[in-house]
Amino acid sequence: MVTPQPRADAPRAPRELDEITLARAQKGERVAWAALVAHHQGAVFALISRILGRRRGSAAHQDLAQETFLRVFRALPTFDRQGPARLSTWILTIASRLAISELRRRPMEYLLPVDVADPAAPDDGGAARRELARALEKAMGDLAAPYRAAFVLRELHDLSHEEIARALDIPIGTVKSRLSRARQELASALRELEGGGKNG
Amino acid sequence: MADRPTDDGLDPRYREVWRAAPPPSGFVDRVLAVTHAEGNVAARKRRSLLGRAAIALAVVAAAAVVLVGARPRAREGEHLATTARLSVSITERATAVLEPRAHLRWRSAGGRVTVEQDGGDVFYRVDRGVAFEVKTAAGSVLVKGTCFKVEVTAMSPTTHTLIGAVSGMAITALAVTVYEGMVEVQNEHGETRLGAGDRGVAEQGEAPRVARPLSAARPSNVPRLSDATLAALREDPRATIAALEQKVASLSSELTEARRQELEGPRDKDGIPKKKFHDFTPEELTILASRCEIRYDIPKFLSSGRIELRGLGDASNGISEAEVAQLNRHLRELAPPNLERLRALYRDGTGDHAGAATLAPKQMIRALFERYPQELDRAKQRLSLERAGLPPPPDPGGPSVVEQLLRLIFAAGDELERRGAQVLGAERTHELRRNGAGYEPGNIQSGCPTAPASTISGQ
Repeated sequence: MVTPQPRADAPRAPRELDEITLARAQKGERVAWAALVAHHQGAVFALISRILGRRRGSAAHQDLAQETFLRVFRALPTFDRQGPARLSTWILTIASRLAISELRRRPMEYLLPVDVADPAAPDDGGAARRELARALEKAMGDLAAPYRAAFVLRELHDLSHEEIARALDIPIGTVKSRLSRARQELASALRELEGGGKNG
Repeated sequence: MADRPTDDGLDPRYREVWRAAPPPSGFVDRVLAVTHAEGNVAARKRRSLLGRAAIALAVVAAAAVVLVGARPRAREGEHLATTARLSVSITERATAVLEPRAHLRWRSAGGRVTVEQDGGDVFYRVDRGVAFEVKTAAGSVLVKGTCFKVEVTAMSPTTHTLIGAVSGMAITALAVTVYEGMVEVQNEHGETRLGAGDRGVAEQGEAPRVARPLSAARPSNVPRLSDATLAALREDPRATIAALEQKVASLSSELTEARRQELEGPRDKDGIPKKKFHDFTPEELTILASRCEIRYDIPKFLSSGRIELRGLGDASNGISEAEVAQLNRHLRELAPPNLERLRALYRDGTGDHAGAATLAPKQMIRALFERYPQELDRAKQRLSLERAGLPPPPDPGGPSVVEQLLRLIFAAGDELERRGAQVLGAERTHELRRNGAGYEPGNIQSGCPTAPASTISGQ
């Protein structure tokens, strides 16, 4: 398995649930299962909301997150703790597949999960942040769901190429090409943004 | 700023604006409630579904039936068949509620009412004292006397009824559930009496027998309509009746499912019916995936090589010769390319060109399974996980010849059903498939790969 390369600005991968709690959850202990959900809910919501975007609404995010954990619950007894997959990756795999499936079923304009123009959002950059957000929304909105999912899994959830390949059931080469395409879109969006800023 | 983001990291400014929505408070509790309910339901469902549904169905259906005054009257001798729930009066003193796809006709002679129920589920309410008999292919149900009381305040006088449900299942089995009163189920092999709360089963070629009793359905336990329901009935009877009928439909569906489960026969150690090959629940699929087990049928043209359907166009299947002819036209289109694909797989997998031209399809399938046992294990694992909606393991080498073969079988089977549905409708076609018409059922492949990297948790 390819280990993710540490990056200075990258978010740390969530610490894995400890073995004992996981084993207890697998045996059906309610408290351990609650701990597992609490431990991974943040990553699941983050992934789903980043892939689906804000336009879906929080209810859709919650439904998909719930469905994710329901599937985890059903399959958890068969999860091999000694196997090659981390629990977190396995859960994100299920979540990302559900999110992609949802996007394919109901295509919709992509908006960032959090509205940066929202008065409730911290105002530390105002207009510049909104411009940046619009550029990002445009770049991501132009990407098909599987591309966006690969990019989110890599850049925001720190999965390795191999883990993404496994999660999305695609060859590693395809993962790389999708990431490359997503980065090009972003770079292009940034250039346009900065070019517009200079000109204006 | 990084002008061109690289694999070394996303431009931090993007990360800053691409913040994620946090989980709402209480989400863990919500998940716990759902999974706890699912865990409980899975364990409890089989035990109690039949009883609960039967009780509720009895009460609600009784109320709805009594309340619906403008019920159409079925003419004597008229053949009734319906695609939606239908309530009809049979004489002045009996009512039948036909579920979708039920069909019957009735006649009256010498004060005796005889209903011939060819198939489907029908709920009967018969006033006390009426000589009433329901005949099915698997046996007859004779009303022996009853006393069932339905109370609906200010809406209807007290009525003494027999309430029971008769299901003619696939013509070969009859299931009778008695909610009140007593009936006798008989056929040429024997007879049995059923009282309130009993359930009987008669299969063609066997004497009727008492099945699992509906112990909770004893009169003392039958729930009454709640005060709120009664008040609502006084306020707005139509809306309440509609709601009750909706509830009846839902409960009836549950009851049908429970009956189906009961008739599915013995279960394995994980609770999956041993002879089940279709319509698995998500829980069952997950269990099957944990065993790397796939259950499937094979279209007969991919098994015996027989392309024409035979023996379907008789009365027991309810398929006309014209429909058989249409189905055969579809088969003649569908079979050749699939057979050719099977022969190509066999040639690729074995190099046996002569055999590919001469062997029967089932011989080629068996030969490929035997030649590639490890590939078969991996294919079973992959396909069972896919069916359960779980991530399959990585497959860098692409699908093996065995996996391609299984996918060919599955796809051909589904395509045959799809085309059949164009002729017969989806439900009829699916039921025929479940009964093995046009398919060779009963194929089970089970067992996981031995290599650690291919275990289920490795996705």
